[in-house]
Amino acid sequence: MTTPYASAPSHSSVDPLVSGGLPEEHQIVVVHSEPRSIPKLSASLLLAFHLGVRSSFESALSAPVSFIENVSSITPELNAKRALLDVLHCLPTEALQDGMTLEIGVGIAKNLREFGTPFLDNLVSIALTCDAPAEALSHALRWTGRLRDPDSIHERALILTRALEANSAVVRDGASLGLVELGAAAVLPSLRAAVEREQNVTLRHDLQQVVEYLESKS
Amino acid sequence: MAFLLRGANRRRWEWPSAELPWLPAGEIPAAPFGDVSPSTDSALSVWLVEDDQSNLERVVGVVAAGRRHVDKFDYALVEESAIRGLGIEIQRSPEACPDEEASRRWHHNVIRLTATNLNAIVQLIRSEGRVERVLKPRVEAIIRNGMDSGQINPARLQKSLLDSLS
Repeated sequence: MTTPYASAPSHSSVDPLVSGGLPEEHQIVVVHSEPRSIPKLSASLLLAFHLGVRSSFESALSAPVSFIENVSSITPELNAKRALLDVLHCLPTEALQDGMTLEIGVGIAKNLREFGTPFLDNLVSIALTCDAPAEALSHALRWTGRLRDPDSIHERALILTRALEANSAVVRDGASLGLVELGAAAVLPSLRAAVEREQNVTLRHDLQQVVEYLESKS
Repeated sequence: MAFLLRGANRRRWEWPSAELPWLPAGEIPAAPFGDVSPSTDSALSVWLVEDDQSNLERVVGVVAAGRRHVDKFDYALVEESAIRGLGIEIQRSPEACPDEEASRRWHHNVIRLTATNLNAIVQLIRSEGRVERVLKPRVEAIIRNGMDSGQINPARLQKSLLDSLS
């Protein structure tokens, strides 16, 4: 399975997850203490060599304090995004069937625990623009609503209602199904607004079905 | 007038649509064919639903009980006679599943399918059939009812599905 960052890119198409959009002189390659695979580790090292990037240790010695602060605030966000993309690509397209996506659920739960809000922020950002397979996003949003984590219920409700504005009907559908899982009547105003603006006739019907379900619970 | 049910995904059956500006007029997008993907011997698994649809929920339950966790259930429903009208063969074919009686009574295969047949089936579902949805809480209740009544054998369910019910 190919992920967007599994292969070493050319110099002109550096993966933003690797470079973080920093000026070239500040680019770093993050090598995890527990790399998920030897090929990915090798690709990272090859890329570092190809770009002539200094090691983070070397950079830290010579970098101004402000740069070190930037790196320390950006890195967790990059890791959260990388982890999310891993989750969204963990199953091949043909395996994305209803009731068959446990791996996505495990990934969502693990990374939400590890990264917290930045992970959810990345999810909604990718969902709104559909920068990943729509069906995978639909299942990720359902799992976001399905998690048994009372501490994050408000953040998850917010993410799911925002995803009702996604470009893709498949993703908007996934967001509404996530709200069914969440079962919170507080989201009804957002859902009703989504029904009003929905142009897709069958999806509007499905959103209305979700509204009626949540109304019946409240 | 019995019906044939096939698990589906409602989002695959939306056309024409503003979201498919690339689709030439009169063409079918490829997406719905993902819901009628045949086996290696060109057969398609379907469930017979009685005229009065009295077994509809039981069929939904048996298909959903074969999954790894509970989720919503979308399905396509089309008249059996309309499929036979296309000259396509339908054969009763029980299969191993958590509700053996349901399988014995209602599971069928649409057999000896050609690409032309698949195209005709998709057109038929689109023009004369229905693609409906059962939300997850109802699917969960149907599976629970099936287990309580002894129709669904819990020993045949995947552990992850049982966990997702609790």
